[in-house]
Amino acid sequence: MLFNSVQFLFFFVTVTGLYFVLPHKFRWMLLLASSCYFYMAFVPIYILILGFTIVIDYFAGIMIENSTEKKRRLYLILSLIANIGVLAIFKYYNFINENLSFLCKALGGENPIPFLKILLPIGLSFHTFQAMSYTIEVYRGNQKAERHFGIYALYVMFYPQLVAGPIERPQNLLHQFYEQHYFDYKRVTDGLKLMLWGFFKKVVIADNLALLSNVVYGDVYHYKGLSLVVGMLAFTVQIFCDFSGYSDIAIGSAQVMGFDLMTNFKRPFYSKNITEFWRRWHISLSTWFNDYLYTPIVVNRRYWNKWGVVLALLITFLISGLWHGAAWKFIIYGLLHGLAMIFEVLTKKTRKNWSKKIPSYLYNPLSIFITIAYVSFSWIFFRANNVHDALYVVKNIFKGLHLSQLSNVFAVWEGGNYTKLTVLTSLLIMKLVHHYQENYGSMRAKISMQILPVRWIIYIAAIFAIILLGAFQNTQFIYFQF
Amino acid sequence: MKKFVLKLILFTITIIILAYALQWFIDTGLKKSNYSPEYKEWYEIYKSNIKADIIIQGSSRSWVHFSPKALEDEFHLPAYNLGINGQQFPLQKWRFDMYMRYNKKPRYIIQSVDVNFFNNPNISYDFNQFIPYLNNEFENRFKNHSFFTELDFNLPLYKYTHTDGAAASGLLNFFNKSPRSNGKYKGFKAYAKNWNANLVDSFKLKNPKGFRVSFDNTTYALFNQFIQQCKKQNIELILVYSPVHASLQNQIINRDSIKNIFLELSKNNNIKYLDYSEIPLCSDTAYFYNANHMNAKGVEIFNKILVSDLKKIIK
Repeated sequence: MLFNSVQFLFFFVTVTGLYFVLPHKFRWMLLLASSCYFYMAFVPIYILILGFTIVIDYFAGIMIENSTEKKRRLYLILSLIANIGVLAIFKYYNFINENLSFLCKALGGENPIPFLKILLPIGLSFHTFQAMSYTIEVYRGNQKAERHFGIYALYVMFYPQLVAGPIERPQNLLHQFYEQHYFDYKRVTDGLKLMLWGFFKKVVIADNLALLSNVVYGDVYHYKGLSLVVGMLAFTVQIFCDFSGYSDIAIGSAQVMGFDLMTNFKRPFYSKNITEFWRRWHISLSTWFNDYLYTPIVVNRRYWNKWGVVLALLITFLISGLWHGAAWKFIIYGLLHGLAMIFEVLTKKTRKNWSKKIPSYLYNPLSIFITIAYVSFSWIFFRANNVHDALYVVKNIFKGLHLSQLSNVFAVWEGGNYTKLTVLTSLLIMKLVHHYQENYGSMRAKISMQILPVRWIIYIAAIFAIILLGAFQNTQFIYFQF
Repeated sequence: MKKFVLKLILFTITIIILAYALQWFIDTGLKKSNYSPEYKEWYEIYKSNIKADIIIQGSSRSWVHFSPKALEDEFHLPAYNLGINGQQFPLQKWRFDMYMRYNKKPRYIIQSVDVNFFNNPNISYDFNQFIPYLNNEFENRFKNHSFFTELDFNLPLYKYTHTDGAAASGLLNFFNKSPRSNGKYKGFKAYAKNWNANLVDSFKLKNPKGFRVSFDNTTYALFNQFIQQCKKQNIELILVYSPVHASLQNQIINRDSIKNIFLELSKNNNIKYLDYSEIPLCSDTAYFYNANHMNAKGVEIFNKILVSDLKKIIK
């Protein structure tokens, strides 16, 4: 079930309504049942995969807690193998096999291993990572093993964040299922406002921009120069609005019921370098990698000094790239970010000196510009259909920059001038909101301070903008595929 | 919670009222826009602006092939082309019913027919044209074939989510005094384009062994009803099979049996049937812009032949 569908609207109203009507002791059952229904609305059979990892991790957690050091480690490893195994089969098997076939062919042989005809379960990487964080935290002693099977299942399956995060930690989420949430007017309306903002970003901005970026990336060989620049920038804004929009809807819908999910985005386009970018972009994933991969490697290689950090960054971003998808283009995407981070680690002192010499009114905007340009460039690999297409874009993006290329690419943007006007106006609104949030604080609090007619005008305008100016064709969330 | 529920109810009522008002604004503007190339004709129909003695109806082959001007010049009777793009008889009949409800009864109907005539209705084709006119009657008539869901009919503003820019177009055209032009004259437009083989080539590629056109019994029954309706109302019905390029005709396996149905219908009901599907024009690509449609050059010649033949029928 997509968040941006009428079905979800009915689902959300029904589940939230029932949640507040039901006594606390029954609420977990409602949430679990509705989460199952939510997930099964995609491909019902895949709930069995989810069920499999839930059962494994539930028992692994208890056994880790009840065992002595050696066995604890064994149970953790078994649980990780089960989780990574599911990922390996459903996500990476065909990719590895494809590369094996290529290798065999290069050596004059033939790969005897058959390919699997399977669909990737929606959100597999997200709930697998969330499940893994549970067993690791139990192993580390930061979290008690959950004895209530239903509550544990709910921790993995909680519908707002089931298919695309935020990837929660057990310390933040599990205890919330035991707490009784009373109806809180402010919290409910705050959650609804956040959802509305998420819908606006997704449906009005991201999906309208998708009409442009899909055309360019659908057949990159038709374009060059400015057309490719426009396609690249369109995707940059699209992916931010798509994913942060999803996160806002997820966090908002959980907030309405009284749950606090972790923040996933903090205006990443204000980042002055790639390191800061990853502190603001997909925070739940970057902190996951930081906690469970990067930091352990750095600690393990602490005697290598900064080269330990370099190694950790390289491995972390390589795996982060692979986490996104089983394809070389994602590996390159990860590596590009890893290399940038390494560059920043190695030039930290030099850059600090520059920042002192260059006036901040020049240094800061320039840093932001370079960061956005680099991130946009890396997203070429993320969005292109394959490495070949991506390399074509990279080679031709600065070739023969003519203004006529702009009219070529804008001509294929479906929806005509209305769409362009809609996107431009919406981007301006988003920029103003981000500027306010960055410099003054919560926009929701600011709106709450207005008199009722003003507040209602804002809400009604947002709702009508979503319905009337949004794009509703082919509108799956980008991160659902992961 | 009481405060929230009360506010929510008030907010929902406000939204619903505003949504219906906005939908009225958008629909009104959309009808006068050229967002769909069919809007102008629908507007004329619903505003009772068509005062025609000769009505031409059919699919796109109707509005591309039959010139009302040629008929008007010859017979000195007002004519109008109700041809509806990409649609088979059920939708043609729907347009005719709306025409009859809001406009004067014609004396003659020239019904353009072809092999696809007895197919199921195809609401999804150029569905934009129906958006401002969706109502219960339309919903009931096309229940089993509808591209639109119940939400489109019952949830205000929802119907615009199928298409980008429709709502904005509606709002921007609200203050227009008259509908925007779609380049047609009384529902007719000829295209001065050269032959393009893509249509027939892709058709052959998809159907290397030829294609059997489907025949829908309900549509057949509907057409029979229509014939009786015309008789009852004293409207003279003339069936015309306009030229189709031979390269496409040869691909239709059951072409002859469908043509025989028209022949039988004309005999049994004493209706004139003019068949131009095998005149010499049909084998020359110079007169077509694709296998289904003649270009302006072909249309001019065809209309001369048609008018000449109609002299025996239209008085």
